[in-house]
Amino acid sequence: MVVEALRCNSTGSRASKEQGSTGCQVLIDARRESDPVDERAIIARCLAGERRAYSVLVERYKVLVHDLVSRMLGDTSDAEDIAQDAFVKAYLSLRDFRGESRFSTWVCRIALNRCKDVLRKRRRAPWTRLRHEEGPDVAEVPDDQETVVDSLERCEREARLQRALARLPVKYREAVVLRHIEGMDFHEIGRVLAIAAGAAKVRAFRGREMLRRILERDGAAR
Amino acid sequence: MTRFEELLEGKLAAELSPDEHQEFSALLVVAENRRAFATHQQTVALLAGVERYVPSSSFTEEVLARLPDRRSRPLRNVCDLLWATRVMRWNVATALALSLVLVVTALTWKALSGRTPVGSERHSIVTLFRFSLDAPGAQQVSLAGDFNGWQPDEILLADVTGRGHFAVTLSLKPGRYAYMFVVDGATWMTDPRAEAYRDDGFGNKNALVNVEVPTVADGDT
Repeated sequence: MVVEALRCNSTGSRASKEQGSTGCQVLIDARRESDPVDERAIIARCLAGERRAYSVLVERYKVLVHDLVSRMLGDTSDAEDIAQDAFVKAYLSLRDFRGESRFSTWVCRIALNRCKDVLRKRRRAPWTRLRHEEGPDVAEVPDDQETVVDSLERCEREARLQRALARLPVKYREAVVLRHIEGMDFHEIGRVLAIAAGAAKVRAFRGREMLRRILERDGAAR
Repeated sequence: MTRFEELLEGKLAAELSPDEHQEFSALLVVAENRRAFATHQQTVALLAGVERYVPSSSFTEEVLARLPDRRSRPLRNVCDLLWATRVMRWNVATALALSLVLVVTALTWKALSGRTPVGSERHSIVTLFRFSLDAPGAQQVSLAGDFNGWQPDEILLADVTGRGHFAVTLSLKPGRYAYMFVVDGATWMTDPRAEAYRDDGFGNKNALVNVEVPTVADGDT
């Protein structure tokens, strides 16, 4: 079933800032069920040299991949570039895509591997900066349904959550993000992470517990 | 994971069966479990409520701009085919079989290379083949093949029993030959006991005999 979600900027100012747009935008819900037959046809067209066909897949999963990368890295400064890298790498390896899983599963796996490379490099770097440590951007104008105070509280809450996520070990962070933010089921998470669905469930549970403890210590679990 | 944790995960995913739901409800009698359930629910709600980061509006175009043109690079495709890393699946049985093949190949190579080179005298080795045909009532049976230019009256078979069992023995050099019998100078017959056959292109089959190179042996067809 294909579900396309019409999401307006009314619930968040970040989208309008990064999009540079003022109105509503049509996002394809990354949590929707994709049609594997349709995907195979698109991939066949890509392999035949029709590059524009690939834009359908990119449009379909760009929010999912970009958000996943942003959550894993803890900021959005490099997320766009890395998410694009993942799509390019997936395109270059399309011949190896056997269609055993969905394209989204495959491209998420590529993106996560890229994230792990970046995180490994960061660990060796002397310092890193989280975007949310800068605090909310007060210049952003909330919409009619959200007061300035609400907007600031929401930004602060999400910033704390993002900081807490960044403190989780990677193997728990990826399970928590895929399950609870990207909305994947445990079987699909298992395929993305190349582990059993049961192991994915354990990681999500343990990760959530760790996250709760971090948030409680941070005073944000309220 | 404990049973309670498993059920809690199932509850959060809305995947509990009615029985499991009942079991989970029973476990919630314990205050500690109730508290754990509440905090997990709270964390899940917090995570589910976050707003997704949205990529820039030029995201897709930028990805497309970074893609290579597949059609304009046939050579690259060949290179990809040749140099792309591939995952090889194997098991112990396959590895042992492969090792065995390598060992046998090495031994065979060594055995062959240790032999005396085939000299001109090797070509003088001939194999004796006995061709025979049961043709009761026939007056004459001859043998024709590519070894004699298919001459039907050149190699005559003898009726060795006097009851229609015709035979002849030929010395043949190594090679693969096609042949047929000619009964009474007119009827071409395929050897019913030949080791192999080949279409003659006219609806019949020529019999085939294969003479091996190294050994000297007698054959009786």
